[in-house]
Amino acid sequence: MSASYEIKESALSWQEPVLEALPEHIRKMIKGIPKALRQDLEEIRIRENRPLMVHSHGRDYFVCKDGSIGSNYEIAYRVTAEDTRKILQLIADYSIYAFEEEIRNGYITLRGGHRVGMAGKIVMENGSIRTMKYINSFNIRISREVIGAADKIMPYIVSGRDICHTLILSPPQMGKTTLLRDIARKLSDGFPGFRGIKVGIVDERSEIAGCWQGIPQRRVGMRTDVLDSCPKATGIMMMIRSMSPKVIITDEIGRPEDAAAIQETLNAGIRIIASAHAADIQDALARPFLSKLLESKVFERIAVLGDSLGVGTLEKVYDSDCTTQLLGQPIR
Amino acid sequence: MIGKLINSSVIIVFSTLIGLEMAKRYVARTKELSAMQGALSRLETEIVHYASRLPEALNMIGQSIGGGTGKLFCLTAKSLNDKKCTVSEAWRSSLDNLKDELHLQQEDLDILRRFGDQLGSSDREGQVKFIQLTLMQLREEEKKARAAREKYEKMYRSLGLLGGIALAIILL
Repeated sequence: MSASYEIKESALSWQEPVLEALPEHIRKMIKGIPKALRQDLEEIRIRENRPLMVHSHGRDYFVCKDGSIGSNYEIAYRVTAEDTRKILQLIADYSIYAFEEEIRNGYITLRGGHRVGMAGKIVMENGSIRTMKYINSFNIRISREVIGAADKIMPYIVSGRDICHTLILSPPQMGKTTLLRDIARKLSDGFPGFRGIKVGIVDERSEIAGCWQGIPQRRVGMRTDVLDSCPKATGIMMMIRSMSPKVIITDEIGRPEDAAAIQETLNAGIRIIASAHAADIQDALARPFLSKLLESKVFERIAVLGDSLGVGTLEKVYDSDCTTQLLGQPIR
Repeated sequence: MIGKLINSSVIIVFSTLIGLEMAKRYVARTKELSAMQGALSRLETEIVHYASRLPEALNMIGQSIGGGTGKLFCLTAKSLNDKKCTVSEAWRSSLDNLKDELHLQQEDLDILRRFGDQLGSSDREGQVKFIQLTLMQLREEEKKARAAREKYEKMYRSLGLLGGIALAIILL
């Protein structure tokens, strides 16, 4: 039922929005990189006065003027001050004033959901960050969605028409956001034996839906509403009041006010699926906030991600008591 | 006799037209300076209250005000949308392209060029400051332009006509 509106993502579909953010001559260099590397490109690293580099296949490469790849930094293209100035204007669509909040947070999301991290000199005011100046380092992270990432976990969080309150625990870079996104898509679009339901995503860091000008750039499902860059606790309340979701999805809970918002969700009879940073259930139980949440048995399923069978492996699924394991062995 | 009459009337008509054209320049400059101030005020609103993207805001304002100033805004927006140059480059090249069409003087153009160098490249507070500064400078220029207009507009008009008559008398 969902196939009709979905477009198949090609391995190079990241190129257009990402290249638009680069000055013309760097655009040409990136286009000149051998296709095998370009297809799996993970990051483009730009640092003023230093060689232009790309990350692909788990390691970095220097990029030369003609786009050829080398491991010798001396022949690589050196990024100039003019380049970084131009890149900042391009990623901000010439409107730096419209990205004050993003610059404070250190990243801007491009069309297509790709994130550009920035580093420079931080300007403080009254103990908090006011802005960043002399921005001279950029990390363009090419984001790819993994359709079907949630296939394995769905049987554990959906039982008949009902959905379990689920917490996903994972160390960084183990595909927790990718998983949340695909869960949102599946619940929203529906799948054989399950009719799609209304999903609300509270996307504080613009990572789940990768919104650009408010529009989700990732496939998050046709019955999904996204509150972009919204603080979690406030966002959850807003969603409940205004968008009548059946499920709320959010990532990286961990602040005291999040607990109150989660309680509100339960009171409203809405299901919640969230993620948190933790290596394992023991790690989570050792944290003040998470242990309180887990002990209150709010979550009916606790899934743990890892990389024993590669990134995104579903290592364990616990019941609400945090001891009963539902998964025989890790699956991917 | 008829030939002389025709010749002298041609001289008078042309000289009057030249006079009117010279006078029009003064009028046009004050009009353009005031249109530019109106446009910059609107741009300030777009930036401060709506945080609109610069290309979008420039294009919208440019289309609604029209004229030479409108063209300057639209042309800049167009080259920004090509995503090849910086704001400063786009603004400067648009100004250069429209220089002959606009009736602005060197000092007006200098103010606008400096403005283009800062456009879009700082936070809201910074943008407001630069726009206010530019508005103030343009107001000053407009004042000077009005004074010049009062002085010279009528003068060039009558000078055209009278000069034409004088020339006709001397030549024929």
